[in-house]
Amino acid sequence: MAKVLFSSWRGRLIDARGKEPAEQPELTELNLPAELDGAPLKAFLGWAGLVLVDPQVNIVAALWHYFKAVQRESCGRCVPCRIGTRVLADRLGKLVEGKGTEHDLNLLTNLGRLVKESSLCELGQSAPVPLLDALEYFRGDFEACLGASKPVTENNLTYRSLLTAPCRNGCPAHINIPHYIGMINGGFYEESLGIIREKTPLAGVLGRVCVHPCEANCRRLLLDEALSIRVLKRFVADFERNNGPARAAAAPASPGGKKVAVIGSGPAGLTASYQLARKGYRVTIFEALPVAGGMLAVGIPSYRLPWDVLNDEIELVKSLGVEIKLNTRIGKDITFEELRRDGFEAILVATGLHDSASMGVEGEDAGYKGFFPGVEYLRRVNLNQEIELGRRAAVIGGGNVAMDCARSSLRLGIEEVYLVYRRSRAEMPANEAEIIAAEEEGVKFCLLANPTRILAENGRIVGMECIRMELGEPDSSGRRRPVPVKGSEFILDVDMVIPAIGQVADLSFLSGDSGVEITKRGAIAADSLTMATTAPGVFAAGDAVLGARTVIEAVASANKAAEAIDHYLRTGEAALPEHMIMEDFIEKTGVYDPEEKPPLIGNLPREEESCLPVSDRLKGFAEAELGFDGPPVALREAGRCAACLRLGMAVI
Amino acid sequence: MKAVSLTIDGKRIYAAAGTTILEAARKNGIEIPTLCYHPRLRPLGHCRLCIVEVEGVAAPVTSCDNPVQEGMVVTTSTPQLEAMRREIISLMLANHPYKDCLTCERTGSCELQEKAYSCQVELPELIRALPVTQDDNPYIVRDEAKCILCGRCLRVCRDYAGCNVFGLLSGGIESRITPVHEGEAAGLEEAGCIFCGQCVDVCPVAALSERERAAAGREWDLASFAGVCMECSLGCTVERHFAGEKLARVTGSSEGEKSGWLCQKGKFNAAEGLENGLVTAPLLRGEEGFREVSYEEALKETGRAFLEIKKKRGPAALAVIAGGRCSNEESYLLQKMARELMKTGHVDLGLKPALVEALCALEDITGPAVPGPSLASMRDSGAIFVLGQDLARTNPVAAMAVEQACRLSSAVLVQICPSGKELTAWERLVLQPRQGSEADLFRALAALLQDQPAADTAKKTGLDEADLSRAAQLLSGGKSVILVCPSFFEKAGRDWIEPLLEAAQAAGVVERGRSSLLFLAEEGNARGILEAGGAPQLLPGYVSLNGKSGYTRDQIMKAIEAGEIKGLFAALDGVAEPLPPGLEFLAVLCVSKSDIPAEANVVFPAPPLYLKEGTFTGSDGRRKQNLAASGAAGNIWPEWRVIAALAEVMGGAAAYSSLKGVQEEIDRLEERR
Repeated sequence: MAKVLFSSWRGRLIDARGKEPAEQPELTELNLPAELDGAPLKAFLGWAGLVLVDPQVNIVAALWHYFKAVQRESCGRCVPCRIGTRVLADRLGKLVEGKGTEHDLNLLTNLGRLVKESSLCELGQSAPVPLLDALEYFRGDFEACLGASKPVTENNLTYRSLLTAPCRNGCPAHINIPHYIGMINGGFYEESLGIIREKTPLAGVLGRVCVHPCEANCRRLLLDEALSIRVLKRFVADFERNNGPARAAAAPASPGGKKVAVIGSGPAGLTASYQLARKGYRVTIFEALPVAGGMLAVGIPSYRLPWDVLNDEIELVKSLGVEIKLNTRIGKDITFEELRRDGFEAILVATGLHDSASMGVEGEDAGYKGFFPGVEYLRRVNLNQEIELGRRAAVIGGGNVAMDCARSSLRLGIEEVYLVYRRSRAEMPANEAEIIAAEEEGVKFCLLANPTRILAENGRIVGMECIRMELGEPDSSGRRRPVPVKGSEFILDVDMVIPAIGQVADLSFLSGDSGVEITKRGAIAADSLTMATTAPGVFAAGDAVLGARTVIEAVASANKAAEAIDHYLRTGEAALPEHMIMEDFIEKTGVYDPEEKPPLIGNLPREEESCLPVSDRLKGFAEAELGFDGPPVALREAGRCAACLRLGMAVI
Repeated sequence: MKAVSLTIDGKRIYAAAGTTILEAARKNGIEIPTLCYHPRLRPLGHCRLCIVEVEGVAAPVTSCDNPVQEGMVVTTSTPQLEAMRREIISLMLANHPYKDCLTCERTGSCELQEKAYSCQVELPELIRALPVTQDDNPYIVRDEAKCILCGRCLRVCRDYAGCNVFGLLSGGIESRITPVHEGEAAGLEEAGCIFCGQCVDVCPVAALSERERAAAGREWDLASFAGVCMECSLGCTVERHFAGEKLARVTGSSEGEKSGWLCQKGKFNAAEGLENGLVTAPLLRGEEGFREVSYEEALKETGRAFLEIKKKRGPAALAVIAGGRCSNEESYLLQKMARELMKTGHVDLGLKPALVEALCALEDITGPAVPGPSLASMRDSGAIFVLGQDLARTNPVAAMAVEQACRLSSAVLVQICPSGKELTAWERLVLQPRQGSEADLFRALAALLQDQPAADTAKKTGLDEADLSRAAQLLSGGKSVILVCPSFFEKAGRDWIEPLLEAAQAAGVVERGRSSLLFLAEEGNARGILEAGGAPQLLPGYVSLNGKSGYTRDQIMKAIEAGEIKGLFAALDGVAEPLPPGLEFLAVLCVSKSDIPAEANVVFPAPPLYLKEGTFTGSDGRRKQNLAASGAAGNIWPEWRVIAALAEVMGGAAAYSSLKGVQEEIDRLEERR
C-alpha cells in the first residue's frame, strides 16, 4: 500500500504532506509501480514532474543526482542542455554540500527556465520540470541547504535513471528510435542501421513487417501524424542492401565461450543467437524445418517479406559464428539430454506456434480435400510445396495470418476469396495497412459471420455453412462479444476452407522429465523478466512463451533471455542488467501521454511509402510495398522527429 | 512553387513553400541571429540563437529548420528572446577559451566573437578545464577547446565531402565533435580524412584552421583573389588569400556557384613541392654551370638557337611540349609560336591522345563552346553514369558531387567498370563488362535505345540482360549525366568512344547545343588547352589537321631519342617524365629549382600554377579567370609574356602589351569561326 506524499506528475497536483495516511492517495493512481528490483519506490523524478513517497528522500539531493544523470545523457548538440544542465547540476551539488547561496536558487530558476524553453530536444525541455516544481513546492528544503554547516545526508538511497522516449518505450524491444532517426537526419544511414542492430539483426525484416507499436506512441500524433518509424527503419536497411554492408558485423570481443543451444530459428531464436554470439558464446540453432527463419520464412508471405531480405539477415547472424542445423526437430532428432551431453550449458526454447487453432466446427477433422489449416497453408505456399488449389476459398479469421492467407490465395490465382470474421471490421486485430491492402486487392469481407458446418461431397469441400453474428457485451479483452443470430444461417459457395483464427504450440517435446512447466494456456511458463523456465539452464522466448504475438515482441523477449543466459553462465543465476529492469519499470509507468500539448509546430504531413499498383501485385508474389521513393522522402520524414527524449529516475 | 504568406514582426511576407522562417525573414531584410547556420548546409538547429516566437506555439522554436506555414505569425525579437540569446552566448563562452582571442587566428573574423560583441555579453567564468588537442596531420590544426559544437564540420563532411570523419561523442559538457574511428575519438588521418579542408572553410571559430595559415597574418591583412584551381580538369572556383607574397590559405568559393566544393589538391597542395626554392631569374648554361642572365639575353640566345636548328635540320627538328597545366592564353601562344614561327607541327601541351579524340568527337556532335553539366546540377539528375574507377583520387570534387546526389537526392548511380566499393548511393547499378568489351556495352545500350536487336552484342559483354535494359532505361530517363573518369581511358583504350557517344545521342544526353556528358582528366586545363590548339592533331577551335598531325608527346620523346628532334621548348610544370638525351638545344619554363634539367640550355622562371594569370576552361566548358596576386610572383615574367617575347625574337609580330591583348586576339579568331 504505497502512498503518495506529493506528486506533480502530469500536471495533477497532489500535496498530501502533513495529511493522515488515509488521506494519501495510492501510488497506483499514478501508474507508478510500488517496487523496483525488489525494493520499494521512495521517489520518482521525471519529465512530467516529481513524486515523493518516502520523506527520507532529500529532494535537493535527488535533483542533484537527476541532473548528473541528465548530463550523462545529454547528447551535446545544443548549448542550453549541454552546458546549462551542467551548471544546474553544479549548483545543486553546491547546495547539497551546504555551500549554496540565495543567488544559486535564483539561478536554478532562471537557468532552469532557459534550458526548458530553448533546448533542442525534449531532454533539455523536460529535465527542468521536476526542478521547477521542487523550487515551487519544496522551497523549504532548498532554503534548509543555505548556510548549512554540513552536507545533506542521503540515507543510503539508490538512484536509478533511464533515458527513454514515448516511441522507444512503446517499442517492446526499446530500440533507440530517436537516435536512429536523428542519424538518418544527419545523412548517417550506416550508423543509423548500427543503432538498430544493437537490438536485433532483423532490421530489414522489421522495416517491412513490424506492427510498429512505436508509431501509436509517437508524440506527433498530438500535432499532426505519427512518424513513419517502420519505413525509416526499412530505408536504412535497404541502403545497406544497395551498397553491401559497410563493414562485416563486428566479431565478438572474446570468442570461444560456453556453448548455448537455441531451439528454433525464428525471430526470437535468431535475435538471441545474435546477441549471445556477439558476447562471445558459441551458439548452435536447431531448426526443425528445411529452412531457417521460423514464421518469417514460412508464415509471412514473400510479397510482404522477400526471401533475400530475410536470408541476408540470417547470413549476418551466421557470420558471427552461429551454426544453424536444419531439419533437426527437438524431441525427435535430438533430445535435451543429448544437448546436455554435447556440452551445451544453456538451452533457449524458441519454437514458436506452428499449429493452427481449431475452430470447433463440424467437419473440421474429417480430412476433407480443400481444408487447409492456415499456418500449414502459408508454410506450403512459402516453401513452394504442392497444394491442390480450388477456385473459391473462405479464410476464417481477422488477424495478420488471415490477411496473409487471403492475399496469398489471390496471388495463387484463386478466383474468389472470402474473409469470414465473427466481429466487425473495427475489431479486426490485423494491421490496418494489411486490411486496406486486402480490400484493395479484392478480398471479399464477410463480417459478423462465423462458420458452423463444413459441407462436403465425396470427401471434397463443396461449401461452408455460416451464421450471422451480432455484437453483444464486451468480453475480458474489452471487445464486444459476438453472438449468433438465430436462424440466420447461410451457405458460402467455396471449395477451400482455411481457418486462421489462432496458433498453438506443439510442446510434446517438453513432456517427460524436461522439467519445463507449461501454463494452462498451453504456453511455456517463463519468468517475465529473465525468461527462465522452471528447469535450470533452460530459457524460453517468443510466441512459445507469449502466445501468438508479433516479431518485435519475440525480439524483445529474446534480448531479455540472452542477457539472462549470459548472467546465468557467468554466475549461475539468471538475472537482467539494471537498465533492463528499469526499462520494465518505465514500461509500467508509461511515457506517452495523450493529454499533453507539445509546444511544437504541427501541420507537417507524414510521408508514405510507395506501393505496387494492385494489378501488378496480384500477378505474383513480388514485393507489394516498396519503401520510401528515395532519400529526399526519408529525410523529410526524419526531419519531423521532435526527439522526445525523457529522463526518468527512481529513488529506492 | 506554391507561395505561402505569413507575418514576421508585423510585416507581410511571401515565401515559396519549403522556405524556412529564417530564410524568409532574411530575404525580406529581417535579421535573426544565427551561429550554426550556414547557407551551404542543411540546418542543424544546434546553437538555438535563431529562436523566434510563433503564435499558437507555447515555447520558442528555431527559425532555421522550421518551414513557413500559411498564416504563421512570427516575432523575431522580444526582450525575453534577446535575454535568452545573450544567456546562450554566455553559456557558450563559459566553455570557450575567450582569453585566447589575443593570439587566435580568427580574431576579427570569428563568428562567436562577433556574437559576443553584438550582444555585449558579460564574460563568464570558465566552467571546466578545456581539452588539449593532439592531432599530428600535415594540414589541419584542431583545437577542441575552441569548438562550440555547432556541427557544421560534421554536416559538410557527410553531405559535401562524402566522408564520415566526424562524429558526435556525447556526454553532457564533455561532449565532443571530433574525428572518430570505430566509434572512438581519433586523429583526422586515422578517421579517414581526405583533407579537402571544407570543414575548415565552414568552421565559425578557430577550432579548425590550416597549418599554413598559422601566424601568417591577421585576417584583415590578407589580400584575397578569386581564382580557379587547376589541379585537375574540373576547374573549381576558389579564393586565394595572400599575406604579402605568401599564400596563406585557399578556400572554396563563397560567391557565384555557392558550391564551395574543394579537395586536398586545391586546398592544400597548390604550394607543395616548392620548398626547395623557386627559379627567380632566367638562367643560361655555360661551362661553369648555370648563371643568371637578363630576359633579353636568354630570349636572344633561345631564339637564335631554335632558328639555327630550323635552318640546318628543318622545322620538323623542333618541338614544343608542356604538362597539361598551361592557361588558354599560354597554350594559344605556344602553338602559335610552334606552328607559325618554328613552322613545326610537333606541339603537344600534355593531353592524352584518347582524351583528345573523345573531346573532338563530342564537339562534333554538340558544336563549339557547348557547356557540360555543372556539378551542382548532379543533385537534380535522375541517373549518374560513372565510367571507370578512382574518381575520388583523380577528380575528388566530382566524386563528392556524385555521392551527394546519390545519397541525399534521388539520383541513381550507374557504375561501369568500378573497382571495389568506391561510391555509395541509395540506388546503385554496377556493370562490369568483360575486359575489352566496353565498346560492346555501349553498342548494346545504343541498340536498346533505338529498339534494335541487342542480344548478340549484349552477350559479348557477359552482362545480365535485365541490367542492360535498366541501364538503357536510366540513360534515356531525361535527366541523366555521364562522367568519364581519366582511368577509363587508360583501362579501356579508345574504341568505346564512338559507341558511347552514339548511345549518349540516342538517349538524348548529348545533342547539338547541349551536353550532359563530361570527359574528365587529371590535367588541369584539358579542355582549354585543346580548344586553344595545344594538341598536335588540331588547330585552335577544334579545326582538324586531317592527317597532317604533328607528333604526340610520346612520339616527340621517341624522336628525340632517335636524334630526329634536336630542339625542344618545354613548359615543365606537369611534365613528369625525364627528357631523353640527345637534344642540341633545350629551353624550359621551370617553376622549381629542383626541376631544372641538367642538360637545359636556357631556363626561364615560371610562377607556380596558382599565381598564373590567365583563363582556364573546366571540363564543363566554363571559362574562369585566375587573377594573379600582384607582386606575389616577384619580378619574374608570366609565362605568356616569355612565349610572346620569344616568338617576337624569332620573327613574330610585336609582343602584346598585356594579357588582354592575347585574349582579344583569341576572341577575334573565335568570332571568325
